[in-house]
Amino acid sequence: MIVGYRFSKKVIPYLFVAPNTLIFGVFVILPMFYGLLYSFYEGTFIEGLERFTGLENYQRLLRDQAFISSLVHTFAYVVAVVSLVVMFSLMLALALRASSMGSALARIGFYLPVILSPVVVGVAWRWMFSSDLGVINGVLVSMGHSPIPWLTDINWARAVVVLASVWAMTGFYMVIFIGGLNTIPSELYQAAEVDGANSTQQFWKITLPLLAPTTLLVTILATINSFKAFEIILVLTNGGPGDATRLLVQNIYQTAFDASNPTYASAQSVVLFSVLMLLTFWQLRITRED
Amino acid sequence: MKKIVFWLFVVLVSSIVLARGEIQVVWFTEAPTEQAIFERYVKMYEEANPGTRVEVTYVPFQQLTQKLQLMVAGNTPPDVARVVTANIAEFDRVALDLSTFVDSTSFLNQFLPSQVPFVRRGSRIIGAPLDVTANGIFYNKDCFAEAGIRVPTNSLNVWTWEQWREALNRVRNNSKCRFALSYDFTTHRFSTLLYAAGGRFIDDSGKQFVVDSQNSLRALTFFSELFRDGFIPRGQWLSNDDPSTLFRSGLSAMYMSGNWNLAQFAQISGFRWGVMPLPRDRIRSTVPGGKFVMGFRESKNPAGAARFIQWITSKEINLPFSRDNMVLSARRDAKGMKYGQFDDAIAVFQSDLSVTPAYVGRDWSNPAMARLNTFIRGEIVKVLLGQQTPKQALEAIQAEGNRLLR
Amino acid sequence: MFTTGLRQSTKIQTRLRRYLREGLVLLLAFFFLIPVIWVVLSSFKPNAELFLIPPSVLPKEPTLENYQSALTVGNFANYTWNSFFVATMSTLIALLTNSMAAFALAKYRFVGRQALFLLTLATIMIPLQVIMVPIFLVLRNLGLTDTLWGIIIPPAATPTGVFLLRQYMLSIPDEILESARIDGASEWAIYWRIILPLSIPALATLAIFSFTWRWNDFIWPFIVISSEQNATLQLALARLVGQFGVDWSTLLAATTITLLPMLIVFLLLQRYFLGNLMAGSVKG
Repeated sequence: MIVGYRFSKKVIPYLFVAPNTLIFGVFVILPMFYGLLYSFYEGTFIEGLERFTGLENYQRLLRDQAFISSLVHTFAYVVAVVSLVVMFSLMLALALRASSMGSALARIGFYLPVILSPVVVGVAWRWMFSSDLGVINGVLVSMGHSPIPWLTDINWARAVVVLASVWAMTGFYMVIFIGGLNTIPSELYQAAEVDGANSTQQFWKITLPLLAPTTLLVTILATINSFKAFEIILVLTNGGPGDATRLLVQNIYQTAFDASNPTYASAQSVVLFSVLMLLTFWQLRITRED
Repeated sequence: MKKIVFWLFVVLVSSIVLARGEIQVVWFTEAPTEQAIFERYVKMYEEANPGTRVEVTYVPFQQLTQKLQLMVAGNTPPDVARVVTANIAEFDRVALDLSTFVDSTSFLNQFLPSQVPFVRRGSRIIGAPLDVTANGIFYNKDCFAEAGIRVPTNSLNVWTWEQWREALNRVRNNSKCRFALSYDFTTHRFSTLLYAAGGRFIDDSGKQFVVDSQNSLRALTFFSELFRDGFIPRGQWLSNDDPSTLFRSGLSAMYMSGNWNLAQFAQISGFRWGVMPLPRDRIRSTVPGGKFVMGFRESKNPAGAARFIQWITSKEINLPFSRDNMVLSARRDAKGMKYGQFDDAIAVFQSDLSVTPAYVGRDWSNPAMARLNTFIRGEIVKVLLGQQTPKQALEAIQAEGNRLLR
Repeated sequence: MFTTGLRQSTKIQTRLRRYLREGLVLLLAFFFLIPVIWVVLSSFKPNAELFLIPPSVLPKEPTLENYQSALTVGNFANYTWNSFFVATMSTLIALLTNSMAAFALAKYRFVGRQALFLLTLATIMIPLQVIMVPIFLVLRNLGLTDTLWGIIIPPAATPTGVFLLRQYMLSIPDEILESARIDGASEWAIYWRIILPLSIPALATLAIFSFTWRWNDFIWPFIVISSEQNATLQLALARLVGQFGVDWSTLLAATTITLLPMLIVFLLLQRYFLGNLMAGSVKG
């Protein structure tokens, strides 16, 4: 009886994790290993794996300009998006934390883009910013200005892509920040006021330090999500002009399907995956030290 | 007991009917109008073949190759797919061989000789031609009239590139058209200029890229100047803006595309438009191509696929189908077919096709081109962005092409 | 007398300042929404009016012809039902399996727990597109291609869901579980009767997000679904963003049709969308 109880007690947690782990294993882990395997081969979709080539795909990556530049773009994009998102969402949270009618309405407004699909976001921004047909240039031209090459100039296009992504994400993190702000006891502020601290001092001395865990969470989630960015850019610029806004995920996608080279694409996936893993473990360590 | 037997019987029969009766079709579309037309013909087929259900998946052209690749890789190919020249070379190895279902000689004899090489692989027949395509230039008649420019109407007064550029300049400055020229963002459409300049991608052996030549250089330089001088809106090649929209809404005076647009343009009501022969440089040329239907060896219903392919390419169906879509049928007996309001336009495409050298079609039936498409386009864009010279671009394309062919 | 007057005037001042601030944030929120508003407004303009310079703000001749052409392009009622079915089923499965896994990860000590948790965290980072080819092959082997279940089951094991729920369940005191055990409750009963009810705020949050993600999913249906009858709204929309012949008028109407259901759900349930997150149910 006791033995049986101990046995079942040991088994129980595994039973609880089983369904999730099964789905997970079959649809995420297993394909990942497949992908790793493919990366050592040469082959196409149609003819399957043709030849074991060892590290050849990886050696090619080192010399592949398209791959390297997409890797650089990805990091630049992630840094830009994450820092802007953290800044904007914190600012909005501070402005809209009050529980008045106006801020409640404004919160709904700022959150709304979060529920839009990336395809819709891409369409909407393109419809605004198209260099030849967009409404912004339409207004500029009719006021006598010359049009701005929003999506046809390398730097402008990068800016628009980053802004569109920030636009779509900010509301979500704003709300998380408001949640974080609500957990700060109001007595602290009252005490600070008694001590004569002004609102700037209160922000640096109370709000920011106590908000650190939330800020970390927001940073992690935003980093993860911006590494996944794909559809918005696909619809908005399709990676252009040239390859100025082509991120690694899109490069992998195009290598696999446009250039019909799934095994080479798999090698790129493995690299991206390794980068993401390193980042995750690094973030985990920070979290723990915290 | 009786009940069980009855249900077993029902299950048995229905499984046979399902296996026999369903044809899965992947049909790419370039305009909503095409879909409505095809749906009508699908209904006709189902009515003519009771018990058969045709299940159609519509895919935008841009996603066609990927969709088919995934389906083939997943071992669930469709029974029938509509494809273009590049795909038929690409899917050669997994194609359904129609020669086991038809009499090869008489089947192939129905089609224009120019389209037969695409589908004949030795004794195998890996598809059937639906229609012939040709690149060409559409123009806004109202804008040209407003600018007082006379447009060439037949093969005798074709513009040279210099005359063309002059006309672009005049129409942009003197008409309500805000933009001079819309230009599809594809290697295929760019190559129209390449061939007119006397250039080509691959030599006669099909094993060697020869694109790095003086003639090609001239074409690419001319093309980049069209951008530099603002004739082509930059968004079309630099941010994937849709060239067709600009032309259809009357903002663009000309549109470099192809004959498959006719059906969609028939709905334009804001202005009058026409088709002009392609401007010449060293030679006159268009880029011929085609749309095909093909089956897949591993599909569920190859017999049904073969029947459907024969049906849609038959005289009774293909001619009216081509007329409804306003495309050039690939059948020999379509010669002299009337399209009503578009006869003039179609005559222009046919005239361009008749003077096009044979190697142009061969270039595009080489599987290497399907895999290089995106790469070539990328190299051209680098020229437009000023990141490299036309010469460097051609060298890069040639090197990458030869790497693939080796 | 004098002091009350002063106090009153400062009161009015603070109130004025508050109104001003409220007005300002509302204006800002309005500007923020211009891209969406512009799509919806434009969808009612005839094709000729779409590209006018200067642009017209409100449609001069409002028309439904764009919607007509969008509806002839496809069976939007069917797409909407498919999207709804997929999002609902996937969310229900995710709630069950994720909460079970989160419960085990939060409340038991067992060999491999740490590894499982790390694995969950790590896979949050994997963009689906990166492994789409092998995933497709797995689905094929299971006979799930071109079925709605093929887009329902695989994404249900949301690592984010497990993560969120685990963090929430950690805050449930172990004493409650212990006293339930002493009273003779089975482990399943503890999960079902105690943990789940106590986790409702986190579950509601996950439900809403999971539904939104699945509703908005594009890549997954694109890989799995090949037939017309199983297409979802996002697939149908993406079909209109082809490379040539993007018909802006039709596209804008279809975009509006696609965003409308989610918008209604959001406006009705906005309290749950925002409230649970703001209540601090997501903790670092």
